Amino acid sequence: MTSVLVGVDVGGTNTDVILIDGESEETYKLPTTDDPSKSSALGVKEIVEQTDIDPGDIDTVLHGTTVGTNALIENEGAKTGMLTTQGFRDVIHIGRHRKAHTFSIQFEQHQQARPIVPRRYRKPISERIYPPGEVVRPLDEDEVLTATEELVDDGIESIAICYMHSYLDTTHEDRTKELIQEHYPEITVSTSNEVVNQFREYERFTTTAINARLAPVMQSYLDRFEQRLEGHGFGDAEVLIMQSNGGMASVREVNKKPITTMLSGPAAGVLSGQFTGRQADEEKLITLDMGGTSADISVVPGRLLERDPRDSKIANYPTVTQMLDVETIGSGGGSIAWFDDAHGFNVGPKSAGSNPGPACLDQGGQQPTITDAQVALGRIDPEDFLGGSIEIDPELSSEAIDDQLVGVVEGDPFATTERAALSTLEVANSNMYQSIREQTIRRGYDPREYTFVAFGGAGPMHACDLAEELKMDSVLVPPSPGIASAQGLLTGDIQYDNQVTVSQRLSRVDAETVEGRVEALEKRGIEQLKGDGIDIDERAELHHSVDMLYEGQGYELNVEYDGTDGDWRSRLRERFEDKHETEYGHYFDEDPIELLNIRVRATAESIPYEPTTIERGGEDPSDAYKRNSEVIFGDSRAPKRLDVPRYEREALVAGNVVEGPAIIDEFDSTVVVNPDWEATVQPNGAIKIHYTGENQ
Amino acid sequence: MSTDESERQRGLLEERELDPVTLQVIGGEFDTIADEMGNKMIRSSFSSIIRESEDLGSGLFLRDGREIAESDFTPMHVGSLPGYLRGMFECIEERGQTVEEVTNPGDVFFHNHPYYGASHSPDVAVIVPIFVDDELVAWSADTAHILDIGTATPGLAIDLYDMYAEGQLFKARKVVSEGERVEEIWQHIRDNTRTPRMNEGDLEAMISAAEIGKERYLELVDKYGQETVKQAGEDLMAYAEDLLRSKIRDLPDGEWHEVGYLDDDGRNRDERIKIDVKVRIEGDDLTVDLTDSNDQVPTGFNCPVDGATKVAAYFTVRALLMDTYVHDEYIPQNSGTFEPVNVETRKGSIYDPEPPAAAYARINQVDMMGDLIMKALRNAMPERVMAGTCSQVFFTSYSGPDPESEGDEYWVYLEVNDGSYGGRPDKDGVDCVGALIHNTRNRPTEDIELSHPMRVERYELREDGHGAGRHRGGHGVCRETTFLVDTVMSTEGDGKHHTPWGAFGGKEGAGAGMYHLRTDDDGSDAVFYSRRDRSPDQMEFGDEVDEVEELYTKVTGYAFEPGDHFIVRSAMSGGYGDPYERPVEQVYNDYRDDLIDADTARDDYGVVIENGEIDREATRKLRGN
Repeated sequence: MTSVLVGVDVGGTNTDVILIDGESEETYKLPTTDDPSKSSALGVKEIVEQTDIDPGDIDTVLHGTTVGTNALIENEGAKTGMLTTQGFRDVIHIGRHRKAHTFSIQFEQHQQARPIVPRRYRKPISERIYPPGEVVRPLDEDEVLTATEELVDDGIESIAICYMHSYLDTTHEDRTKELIQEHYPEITVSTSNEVVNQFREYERFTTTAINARLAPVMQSYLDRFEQRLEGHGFGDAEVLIMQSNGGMASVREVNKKPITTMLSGPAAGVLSGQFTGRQADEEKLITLDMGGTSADISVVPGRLLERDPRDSKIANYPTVTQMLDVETIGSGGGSIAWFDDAHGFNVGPKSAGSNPGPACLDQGGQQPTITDAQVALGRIDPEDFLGGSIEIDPELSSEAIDDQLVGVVEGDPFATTERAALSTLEVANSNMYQSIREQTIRRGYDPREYTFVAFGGAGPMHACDLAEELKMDSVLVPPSPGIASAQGLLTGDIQYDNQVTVSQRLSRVDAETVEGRVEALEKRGIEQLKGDGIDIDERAELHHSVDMLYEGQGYELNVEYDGTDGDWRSRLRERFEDKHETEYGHYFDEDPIELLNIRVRATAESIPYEPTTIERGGEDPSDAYKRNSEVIFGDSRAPKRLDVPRYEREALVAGNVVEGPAIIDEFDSTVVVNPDWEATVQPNGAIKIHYTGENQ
Repeated sequence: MSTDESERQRGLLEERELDPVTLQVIGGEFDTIADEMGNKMIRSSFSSIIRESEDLGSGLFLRDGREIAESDFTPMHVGSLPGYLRGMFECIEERGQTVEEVTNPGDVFFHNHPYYGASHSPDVAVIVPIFVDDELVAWSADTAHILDIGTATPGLAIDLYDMYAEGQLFKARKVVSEGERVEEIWQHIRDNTRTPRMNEGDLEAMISAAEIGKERYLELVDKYGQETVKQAGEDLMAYAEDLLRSKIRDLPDGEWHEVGYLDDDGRNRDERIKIDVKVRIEGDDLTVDLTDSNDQVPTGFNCPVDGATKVAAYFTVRALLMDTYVHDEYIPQNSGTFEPVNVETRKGSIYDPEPPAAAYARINQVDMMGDLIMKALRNAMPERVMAGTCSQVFFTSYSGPDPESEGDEYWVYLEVNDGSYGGRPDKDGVDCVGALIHNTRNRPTEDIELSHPMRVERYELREDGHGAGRHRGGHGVCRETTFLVDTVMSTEGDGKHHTPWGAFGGKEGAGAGMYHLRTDDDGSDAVFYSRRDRSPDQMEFGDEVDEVEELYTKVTGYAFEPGDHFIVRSAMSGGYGDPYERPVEQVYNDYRDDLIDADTARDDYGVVIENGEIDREATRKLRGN
C-alpha cells in the first residue's frame, strides 16, 4: 500500500495544501486564519474531503510554519528571563558593538531597541569556566534559586541559561537546569550548550534566548494543531515539521529546539525547486521564488548548500542554526518604482504590500509597482487576475507610472509609459541578477550550466529575462507555481544536526578524543531518530564533517571527516588546504591548523514521492488558446509592441509546444515566454522553456 | 533656490552620459565588488583586528585615484584610499619616474606612509593596477589594520619620538612584480615585526581580495566596455556629489564655532589639547575650518591630514546629511561625496602635522572633531543631530612574547573599547558602540580567552551617570581584565577631562577612565568585581587588592604583572531634551534595569521611587503636573 501524504504550508495571506496518494495529487488554497493552526488543520480536512480517502488512512502530515518567525518579528512570544555569568549581563545587549548603519546618526540598534530579554530579567550568577574547561568559580546554587524565584515572581515563563564557555564544560548549565526543573517544573528551560554548543557568546546567547522565547509559543501552537487534526479524525497521522536546514523533524524534537524551524518556508521553496529540477533530470539549478514583497533566490549545484552559521540572521537577530543558503531580497510584485532627490531611479525595497497594494487594485495605491509595470506592458491579463477573483484596472497602473516616472528625467528610458514600465522591470531584474551572480559566478558556479527554476506568483514572469541576462538557455516552471512550497514539504528527509566545539591544534589532538566526541554526537542523533520511531538499520544515515581553520583565523571551513584510520591528520589537512585555495586563492602549507568543531548529521530518507502525470497530446497547443493581446517586450531604449497569443495553462497537455512570444495564464501566476524562447509542456505538467535564438 | 543653483543642478544632471537604468545596474555591480573584496579579507585573515573587528576598507578607483566604489566597513578606511593612491603617485614622481613607467600588469604595491596619504601607518594599503589592452585604466585596493608593523612598542604606541619610530614605512613598495613575489622584501617584512605569521596571513588575504577586485572589474569591462564602465564611475560620482549638495543647500547659510579639549599628548601630562572647529555653509558648499586647533605635538598624537583629518570631516558631513537610516535612496560611496566639503587646516597643527613628527595615534582627535561639527550644526538641524557623544575611544594593545616561540613571535591583541552615542531627537543614545567616526566590531570574550593569557572579568554597561534627557545618552562600557602572565599594554584613550554635552535641555554625560589594581597574590583566586558596576573610588574591594591607581588615558609600553587587574570605563553620552519629559514608566524601567538608582530618578528625572515602587503622588508634585 502506498503512503498518503499531506503537505501544509502556511503563508502570511494564504495556506497552501497538497495531498498525494501515489496515484493522484490534489492542491488546495485557503485564507490563513489568525490562529494558523485552525486553517492548517481545516486545510487538511478539506483537501481530504475532495478525495475518497478515509481520514484514518493519512500517514503523515508535513508542515511548514512561520509561527516562530512571526512571533519574533512581531515582538511576541513567552516572557523570557536569563541566567548568565556574573560580569556578562549585557552580552546580548552590546552584541558585537558594530553599528547597524555606518553613515548614520538616527539608526536603531536592533538588539538594544527590541531586546529578546530586557536587562531587568537578565540575572548574573556567580560561576565561571575558563579554557580549556577549568572551573575558576564554582556555581552558586543559592543564587540560582534566588534569581529564579525573582524571575518567577515577575511572571517569567521561560528561562535561557547562558554561561561563558559552556561548550567546553556543560556541568554548570546542566546543574542550573536541573535545579530550576526541580523547583519550578512549570518553567520552560533552554541551555546554551543544548541549543548551539559553539564558542562566540553573543551569537550563542542570543540564539538560546530566542529559543527560550519561542519554545512555549511553538509548543502550544503544535499542541493545538495536533488536537485540531485529531478532532478532524487524523489522530493517527504523524506530524513532521520543516526545519530551516531543509530536513523534517518530529514535533517532539521541534518542541525542544524550535529555533531550527525559523526559515521553514524558504527552505521548502528550495526543496520544491530541487524537486522540479529532478523531475526534468536537471541537478544544477538556480531557484527563484518571487512573491508579493520579496524574492527568495538559491543556487543548487547538484546538492543543497547551507549558509555559514555566522552569516545567519533572522528578523535582524543573529541565530546560529543550520539553514539552507537562501538569499531573500526586497523585490516582489509589490515593490515600488521611484525617483530620489537627485533623480536616481530605484525599485524597492519599499513595497506597497497587500495594503494598499499595486495601483491597479484601486485600493488607494498611488505608487507604481512591479506588478503595475507588468500590467501596463500587457503581461498580466486584467480579466483573469487570480482567476478573475480580483478586479484590476490597467488604467490605474498606467496613471501611476505616468504621474511618478514618465518625463522625470530626460532621455528615452522614461519618455513613455511603456518605456518607464520596461525600465522598472530592468532595474528589478538587475537587483535579482546581482544576487544570483553573487551566489553563482562569485563562488565559481557557472550559470550557463544551470537550469533556472521559477515559481511563486511573480517568478515565472521574470524567468526568461533573467535567464537571458545570465546566458542560461533553460527555464523550468513547476505545475501550480503559486503553491510550489507546499510541494517541497513532501520531499524533505528527517534530519538532525549535532555539533561540538573541540578547538585544539590538529597536530596535537589525539584520535581518541576525536572519536569519543564523534561517538557522543552519533549517539545523540540516533536517539533522536529512534524517538521518531525510525528503524535505524533500515533508514538511518550518518554524515560526518569537521570545521577547521588556520590558527589565528576566525572563519572556519567545513570538510568531510572519515575516521581516524591511517594518516587521518594529513587527509584532513589536505582537504582543508584544497578548500582554502578554492575559497581564497591561496593556502599556507606550514601553518598550524586548528580543529574547531565536529559535526554529525543524522538523517532518515523521506517516503519517496512520485508526482502524477497529466494528459498527453500533440505539439499543437491550440486547444488551450484564449486570444491574442498586445504585449510589450524589448528594452526601455527599444520597446517592441507585439501581438501575442495567450494560453490557458490548465488546458495545456503534455507535449504541447508554445512558441514565444506568448503568455500562459493560470490561476495564481503568469508565465511569460519571451521572443526566441520555446515552451514545452512536460509529462508532469511542468513547463520547460528553451532558448532558441543565437548567441546565448 | 537661486537661478544659478538650479542651473548648476540641471547642468550636473545633464552631464551624466549614461541613462539612470544602466547607471543603477553598474552602480550595483561596483558595490557588490567592493563588498566581496572586504568579505574575502575578513574570512581568510588571521588577526582579530581584521577578522573580528573588521578594521578594513576596500574599493575600486579610476586611474587618477578617484574612488568609484568602496565597501561599507570602517569609516576611517572608507574614503581614505584615494589619499593613499595619490600619495603613492607622489612617491613615484618624486623619484623622477611616472606611474606608467613603474607599473606593470601583475604588480602589487604596499603603501602606508603618514605623509603620503595614509590614514596612519598600521593601516597598510595593498594596491593592484588594472590594465585593459596594455593601458593602465584603474586600480583595485584595500587597507586593513596590520597587527604589528615593528613599532617602538608592540601593536601600537603614542609616545613616539618621530615617524621613524612608527615602524615599517612602505612608500609605493612593490611586493609582487609582474606576478612574481619579491622574496627579499617579504623576508625583510617578516624580520621586522613581532607578528610575522599573522602579518603574512593578513597581507596574503589582502592581496587575494585586491586581485578579486581586479578580476571583477575586468569582467565588467568585458560586458560593458571600458568606456562605459569609466563613464558610470564618473556619473555616479557626479550623482553622489549632486545628492550631497542638494542636502547642504537645504541648510541655512552661516558660520558656527565650537571648542573642545583632549586630555594630553601622551607625554606632557595634563597639558590639554585644544580642538577648534568652525563650520561654514555657503550655498551648497560646506567648510570645516580647523585652522585654530592645537599646534602639532611632539609625540605620535597627530592626525595625517589626507588620510585621517579630511576623511573624518567627509564622513561626519555625510552621516549628518545623508543618514542611511533616514534616507531610502541609493547613495553610492565614492569621491563625489567629498567634493562639496572643504577642509581647512593649518600646516604645523595637530590636524596637519609636518614631518618628521610621528602621526600614529589619531582616532580620539577625529572623534572629537566629529562631535564638534555636530555640536556646531545643532541649531541649524536639531532634528538630525544627537547630543554629545563619548568623543573618545580606548584603543588598546595587549602583548607579550609567545612562550612557544624563541622570542621572534609575540601574541598581540588589539582591542577597541567603544563608547556611546548621545540621545537623539526621537531615540535614546546607543550603548557601547563607536563614537560617530568609527565602527568596528568587538571580539568575543570567549575568543579572547581561548587565544590569549588573560581573563575578562566583566564586559558590561557602565551603570552610573548617563546624560539624563527626554532621550537619555548612551552608556559606555565597563571592561575588567585580569592578566595571567607578564603583559605589556599601550592605550590611546581620552575623555577623562571631557564631559559629553547635553542637548536642548538634556544633561551632560560622564567622562572616561582607566585603573590599575594591584593584588597581593597571582590573582587566580581574587574576585574583583562587585555585583554591580561602580566607579573604583566608590568600590569596596576585598583584602587581596593592595592598591588602586587611576592611569592617564594614554600609556605606551605599560607593564602588568600576573594577577594585576585593569579596568576601562568609556564615556557616558549626553541626553537630548528635558529629562522631566521622559515618561515616568520609562524612567522606572531604567531603574529596574539598574541603569539609574532611585536618587538619579528623583534628582534628574523628577520620578520618586520608594521601596521599589513609583510614588505617583510625589512624582506629580515634583514634576509640577
